[in-house]
This record gives sequence, C-alpha cells and structure tokens, in this order.
Amino acid sequence: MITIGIKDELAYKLDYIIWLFFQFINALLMILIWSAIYLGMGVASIRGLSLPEIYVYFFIIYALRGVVLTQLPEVIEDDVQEGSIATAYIRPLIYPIQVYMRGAAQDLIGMLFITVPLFVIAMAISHVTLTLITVVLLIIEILIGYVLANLIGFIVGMTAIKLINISSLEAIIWSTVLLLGGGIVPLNMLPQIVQQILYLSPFAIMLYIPATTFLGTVSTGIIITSIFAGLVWIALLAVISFIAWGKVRRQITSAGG
Amino acid sequence: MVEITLIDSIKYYLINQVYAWKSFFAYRTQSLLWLFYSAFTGIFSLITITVIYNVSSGFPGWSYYQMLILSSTVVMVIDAIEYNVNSWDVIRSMRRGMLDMHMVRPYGLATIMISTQSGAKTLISGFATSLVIFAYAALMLHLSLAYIIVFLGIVAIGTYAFMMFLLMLTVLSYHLFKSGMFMEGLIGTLSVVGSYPLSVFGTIIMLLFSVLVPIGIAVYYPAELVFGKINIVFSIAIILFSLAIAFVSYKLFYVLMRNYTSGGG
Repeated sequence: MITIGIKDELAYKLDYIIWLFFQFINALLMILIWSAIYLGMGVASIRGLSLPEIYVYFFIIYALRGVVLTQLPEVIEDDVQEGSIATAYIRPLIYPIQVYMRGAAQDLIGMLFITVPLFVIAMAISHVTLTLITVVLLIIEILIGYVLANLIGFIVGMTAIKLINISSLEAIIWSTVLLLGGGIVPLNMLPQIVQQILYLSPFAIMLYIPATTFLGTVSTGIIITSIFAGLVWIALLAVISFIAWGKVRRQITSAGG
Repeated sequence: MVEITLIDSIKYYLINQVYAWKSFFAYRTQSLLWLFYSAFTGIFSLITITVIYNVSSGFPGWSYYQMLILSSTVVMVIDAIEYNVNSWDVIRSMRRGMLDMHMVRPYGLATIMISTQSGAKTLISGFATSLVIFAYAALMLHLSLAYIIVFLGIVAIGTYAFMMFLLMLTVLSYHLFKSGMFMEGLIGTLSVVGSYPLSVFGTIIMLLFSVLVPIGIAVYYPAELVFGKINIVFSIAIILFSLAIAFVSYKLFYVLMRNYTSGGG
C-alpha cells in the first residue's frame, strides 16, 4: 500500500518541485519579515527569542508542517467521492489501516522532501549541538504530533461519509493547527494565559514544542506538560475515532465509480 | 456576425455568476464551511499583526493601523481577483477541454474565462471581513472620505491590472506546466508578501513584486500615497504603469491563447 502510494505521489514530479520551491520561498519570507521587526527595533531578543533563533524557528516550523499536515482526510474524501471506498472495503485489510497506509505514503514523501532538507538547513544555520536527551525528546514530540495529526485527520476524513465534500473542513482544521500550534507566530509571544491553555491543547506539541525543544528555549516543565497532554489527547481522540468509525461505517454508500 | 456590446458582456458575466452561486449552494454545509473559512483568513492577518505590534514596535515607519489597512487591502484585492480568475480551475478546465465549448460563444476570450471559470465564491466572506477591518483601521487613523476614495480608486486600477496580469500568467502556466500548482503557490506567496510593506523584504524582492509580479501596484504603493510616504507624481507614474501592465497583459493573453490546444475532451 505504502509503495503504491509513493509511486502515485511521485507521478507528478514537476508539481512537487514547484510546491517545494514555494515552501522554501515562504519560509524565507517569514524570516525577512521578522528580520525587519528585529532590526527596526534594534533589540537582541523579543520574548527570549533572538533573531538567529527566529530564523531557525521558522525553518523547523516549515519542516514540521511536512509531518503534521497529513493527507489522510483527502484520501478518505477521494474514496467517498470516486466510489472506490466500495472496492477498498472488500480488501482483506480493514479500511482505517488502508487509508492510513495510503496517507502515510504521501506523508513520507513530504517528510523526505520538506522535513529532512529544512531540518538540515536549521541544523546548519543554528550551530546547535543536539544532546542525546534533546534528540530523544524531539523524536517523542514529533511522533506524538504525527499520531495526533493522523487521528484528527481520520475524524475529519470520516465526516466525508456524511458530507461528501470536506475540503473546507480540512482547510479550517489545518489553519487552526497552524495558528494555535505556533506556525504563524511563536506561542511565547501570545499572552501568558493563552500560552498556558495552548500548552495543554493538542496543537502546541505538533509545532511549537518540537521547534523550541530544538532551540533549547522552552523549559523542561512545559515540555513534560505538553508531552503528557499530547498522550492524553491521543487516548481521547483514539476512543472518539473508534466509536465514531463503529457508527459511520454502517452508513457508507458508494457515490460513484 | 453578431455585434457584442459591453452591456452584452456584462450580462453574460452576471448570468454566469447566478449559475455559479446556485451551484455553490448546492452543497449547503460545504458552502457555509467555506464561507466561514474564508472569513477566517482576514482575521488571521489581524491576529498576526496584533501579536507583532504587541511584542515589538512593528515595522519601521508603519503604525499598527496603517499595517491593518495594508493587510486587509491585500486580502480584499486577492479575494476579488480570485473570485474572477481562479487559476487552478482555469488550468484544470483547459487541461480537460472543458473550456473549449465556451470558446465558440461570440464573446471575448478574456470575458469568457472570467465569466465561466470564476470559482472561488466563498472569498466574498473573506472580502467582507477584511472590509470591516479596513473600515475600523481607517476610522482609528481618522482618514477622510476623500482619502479613502482616492486610495480605493488607485487600488481598483491596480487590481484590474493585476487581474489581467494573473490571467495572462495562468495561460502561460498552462503552456509551461499543464498544472495549477505554480499559480496556487504564487498566489499563496503574494498573500504573504502583499500583507507587509514591500520595503521590509529588501531592494531585490521589492523590485520583483513591483515590476515582474506587480502586486505592489494594487496595494503597497496606493497605501504609501495615502500615508504620505510617496508624492503625487510617483502616484501618477504608478497609475500609468498599472494601465501599461493591464494593456500588455491583455495583448499577451491573446497571443498565448492563439497557441492554446486543449488537453482533453
């Protein structure tokens, strides 16, 4: 399943190169915008983040977008719209596992072409020497973020069985993840009370916490709180997914062919 | 030979809009969610700029409310353009041959494309949200009605020129890539670039987005005029440049369409 998905994804190579190009351009633009703010103020740091750290922060954020912006809801939506959910259903592998594998294939390509190069750039410009503990924490946080993104993606994807067309819902969900996860402005620049709430939400662990763990600008207390909150969210969303799937799978109808 | 007047073209455009709006509301939940999402994009810029000005002194030479004017205007401009020229849909219909049947109608090709391939109806809510933010910022800046009218007038000329430019670029993208990915990426980048003063990006990028991909003529330079950062002579030059861009883009669009071959049937 994953191999087929990767081959499908690489069928449109030029589209991928163009998409990659704009990802890099947008990361660079964010850096230029923040450079203007820092240089205009003539300060070394804002809320504990220096200008070089802001550069690294946005490279890491764009790298992590490759991990959390999963294609899973789109896979389910396509299956429902094209009617291929009927054929997928008779395969000897349960449908949620199938769609996860197909989505994972697309995610893997994104990680390979977006996450890895941007992480390498971030490493190169930050001159940060990662300790073993930091690497372990980063892996745990990224894994939690990935699982959370897929669980949210699966719940959103299931709504396609009722709504048929869910591209708008996907756009709302991923924009919320970016905004509340620190993808547009670092969360430490928000009011204290908002920060405290977001550290307990499923969003901070997807982007902000791994980026600041890499930079070493977040306290151990916040990291532990966010990891714990992330695990609780995984358990909660897994239960919701399981119950919801049990209900909606009986309502599946093939819409086309 | 049927004589097509401007009124006929406008009627053709409006009839297609009625049809497009009816199609849009065929999926009510989906359309309401899209309207909600689109409204959200204007609020996105508001939050970003508010946070930036909360933790710093912001962009040199630009106050908080001036930045709100700039960012809300760019959302309105891009939403208005995408409402009429949805590059992704235009290229898809060219590739699938869906445009061909419209091309036999006796209207201009640009009119046909803008009328039949306009897709993003939801952007009207993004436009409305940004208009509210714009009105709020203008009120806080005590901008006179005369200033606002001059500003919106120059923005309208720039928007028309930029729309023609994007229409031409959409056809060029079809010739080069046969895909809407380039245009989608470009419009995403333009939304970011246009939301901030072009001067913050440095001379090369400023020139790039003033001349080569001239989003600056629709938003940045009109704002600079209203806030007294450029003089009236420079503003007249910007208007003339916008008209030149519109004319050249229109001509190039027809040259490119002469070599158009449908991608399917």
